[in-house]
Amino acid sequence: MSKNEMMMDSFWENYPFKIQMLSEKPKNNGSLTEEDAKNLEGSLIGCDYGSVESGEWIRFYWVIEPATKRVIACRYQMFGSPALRATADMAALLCRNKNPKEIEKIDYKNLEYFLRDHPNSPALPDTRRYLINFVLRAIKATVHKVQGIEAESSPIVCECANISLDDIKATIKNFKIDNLKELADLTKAGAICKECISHDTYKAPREYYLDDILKETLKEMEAEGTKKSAIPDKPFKEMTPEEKRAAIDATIDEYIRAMLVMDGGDMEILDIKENGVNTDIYIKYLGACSGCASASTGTLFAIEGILKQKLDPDIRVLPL
Amino acid sequence: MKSIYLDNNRATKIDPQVVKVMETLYNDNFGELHALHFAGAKSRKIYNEALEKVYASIHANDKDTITFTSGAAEANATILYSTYLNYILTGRKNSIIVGEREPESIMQMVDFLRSQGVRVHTIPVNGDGVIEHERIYDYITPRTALVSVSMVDGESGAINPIEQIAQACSKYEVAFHTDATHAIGKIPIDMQDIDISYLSFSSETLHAPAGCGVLYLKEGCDLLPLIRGNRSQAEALRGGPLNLTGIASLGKAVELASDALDFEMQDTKDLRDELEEKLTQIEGVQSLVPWALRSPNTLLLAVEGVESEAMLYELNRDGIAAYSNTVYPYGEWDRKALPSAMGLDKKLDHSTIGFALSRFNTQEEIEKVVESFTNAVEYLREFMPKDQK
Repeated sequence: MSKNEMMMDSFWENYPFKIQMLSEKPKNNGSLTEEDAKNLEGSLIGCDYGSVESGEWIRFYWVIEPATKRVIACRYQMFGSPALRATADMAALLCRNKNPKEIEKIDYKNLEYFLRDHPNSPALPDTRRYLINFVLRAIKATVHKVQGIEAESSPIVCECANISLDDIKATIKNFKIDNLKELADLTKAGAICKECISHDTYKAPREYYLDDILKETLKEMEAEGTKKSAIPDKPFKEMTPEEKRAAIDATIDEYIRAMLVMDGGDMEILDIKENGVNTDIYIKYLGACSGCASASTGTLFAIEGILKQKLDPDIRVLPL
Repeated sequence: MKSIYLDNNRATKIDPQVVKVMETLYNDNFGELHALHFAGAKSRKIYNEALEKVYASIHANDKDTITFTSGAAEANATILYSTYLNYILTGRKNSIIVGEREPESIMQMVDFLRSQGVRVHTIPVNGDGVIEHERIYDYITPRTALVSVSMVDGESGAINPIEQIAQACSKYEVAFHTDATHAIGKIPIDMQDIDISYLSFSSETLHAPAGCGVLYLKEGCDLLPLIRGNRSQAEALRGGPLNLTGIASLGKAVELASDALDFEMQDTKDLRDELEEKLTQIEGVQSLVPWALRSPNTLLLAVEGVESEAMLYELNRDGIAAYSNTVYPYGEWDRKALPSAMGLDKKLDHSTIGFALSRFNTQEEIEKVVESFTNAVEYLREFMPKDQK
């Protein structure tokens, strides 16, 4: 154990100001009735998620404008801790004036970022991160209700956290979780009575165990990962032109594109030509990259360097 | 804002008279207990006085053994390890019986012993929140190595039927251990009346600083020390230099607690009863353990439609410290929630709030708590629709 692990976690005393403010003076709590919806000329959707028995329950009320399908009013009622109240309040604020498709795009990073006081300090302690995921699942359930999609029935794996098999698998994949501690932090699964973690000869057998689910999902992820980077298993020089293009695309997707997108840019491949021993790749910069001073120097050398290292030392990259 | 402390089953304010004892020790030069010189003699005097007070506080026989540890957790661990090494590993006995709601120091040791192949039986609580002592006859055999049931539950204040369990144990000649951390100073403990083999308690609930505990052994019971390194009988069951300040303050604290049992504890009980009466008048608020079966300072409530942490947070904003064991991940959240264990509605599992009073609480404080609690219940129930309450 390290010094950080030995230090006592801080609880209420170190919550960010935003969490404190939203939990002490929430702005969007309450309910909406059919009458309210009528006054706003929209239709009312209410969706329950979670259970009082597991300690977290939430009901979203959305009034949806028929023409644009936008959420014009959003309120919530809940049972849970002050941190859940703050998270739900922020979520209700973020859902307003968005259509269901836009709402579906709200992810963990967005919601968590909006709850932060400072960009570098996390909004909630590690063990409380499951609240954000809980609210996101509640939002997803509401979106599905709006869209008329019936919730697929997935077996509940952990009764204490009231979380289903599909939700656990999705969380493992989204957060690339590889241990049970992190899984408990992000879903609360297996944190309370611990009976669903692994098989125990002294306890009644269960259909699913988190241990097995984690291993299976990691295997699935590995299989999907290898499928994605389907670079043919032979030297670059011996590849056919189609295979070369696929290999270059895969390398750019895996190692380069994310770097460019982070700065608001992107690139596309215009052409690949054989020029004696060299392979010339003609590219075009997009977004912020086009016109950037570094596009013909540092960035270019970085792209060329990665392709040279990963594929073939005779690759040349020529921006147009 | 004046703060009101009602979490006295976990840690307590140090009594000013105990502080005085500690001050004397901190401000003077006290030697090692075995030292021949004057400083050692002063220490021995303090140690002997404290030991005398502890013997008196539980009416222990002079032939029984009392030793000081670092707390009830260490005492409990010593007893369980010793039972395992002495009786189970040698094949003389084969099982252990424990209550369902024992402190973590016992539950985690029991989990460890179970992983080592020891047969462990747990006795559940009944609808009143106390251990169902009749169930002990389902499991007890002459081959049972130890029965361990705490005297009073730290969360609910339920007083377990120790006499009946002790009788069952004597009938089968099985060693019986009880953790009395939450009983000492709250209810009378008389070792002359009950046949208890091992007893342990801690200083932190006695208005003394944490870090000192007591391990009692009845005459004729044996124990292997967990920590070795004794230089005299005082250290025979727990090696290493004794925590003299802790021991002296514990001695003073048990003396004060025993004196307080007659009058001050009755005052505390009156305050608790007043709090209970007023709070249970609120709709949907119920007291979990019946009045007659509960230690005089504790009140555990289940509040419909109010989440424990949300309530603690509201009370904390008003400067009131209460407790709840069902707040994940803070405290003893990993045990089965008491409402479920008692067979009540599972919806109450995350709605328990506890108040543990002490002799330092006052009438005004209780009135303030009633006011804050009532307002908080009203405020927090606004977040719940009527159909979910």
